[in-house]
Amino acid sequence: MARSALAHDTTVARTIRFPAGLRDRIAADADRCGRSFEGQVLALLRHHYGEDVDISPAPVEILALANASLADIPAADSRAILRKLRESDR
Amino acid sequence: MPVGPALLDTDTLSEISRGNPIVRSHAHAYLIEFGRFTISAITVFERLRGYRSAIAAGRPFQRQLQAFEGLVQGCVVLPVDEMAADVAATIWSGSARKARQALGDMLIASVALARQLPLVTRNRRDFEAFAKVSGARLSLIDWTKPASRKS
Repeated sequence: MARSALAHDTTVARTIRFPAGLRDRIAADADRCGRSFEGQVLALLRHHYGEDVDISPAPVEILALANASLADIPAADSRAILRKLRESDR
Repeated sequence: MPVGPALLDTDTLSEISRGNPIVRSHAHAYLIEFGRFTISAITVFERLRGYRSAIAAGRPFQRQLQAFEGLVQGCVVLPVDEMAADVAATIWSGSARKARQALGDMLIASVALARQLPLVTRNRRDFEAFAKVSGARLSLIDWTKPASRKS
């Protein structure tokens, strides 16, 4: 079926020129999320406008959360928080 | 870098959280490749109980707990399912009393073995022993060592 026949009244085609660097980042994210390039662009826009879309956070955001999860915790408390499950804990 | 997703053990996530530069470098490269960390529900339990016990004892760690919960939301969290429980029972019954003490690591090893995922850990000795008892192969990755340079 021709692509144009699949489109319906609410779909509008637009041509967007992406800077090469941004295009590569979106392509990498799309690959990671299992989406097409176009699907990833739409997912990002939907996410931006408040829809519940699964977007992988950026690596720096994930690492910042990891860092914040132990920030300003004294060493003794940190050791207690990071204590692993032992059989004797039962 | 593993060819597919890998399971991070609790110690690895702790090293990332502590800001260990070598571990964070590996972690950053991994996130660029795979988007999210994969951890087990055991790691989530171990950390959450630590925060909640501390907060219950009057320590002001709500902000850090929120950060950890946000971190977990961005992770793939694998449960201890029936297959992992089966593997864990094999390891537990075949292990000496001392090895059984490391119950958390044993369950994490079981999740990795049941799903045939590589495990990111610095604790090679214990996890190799668990894998040996299970009779299955477990691929181990150590992020505390610098990445090898390609010539």
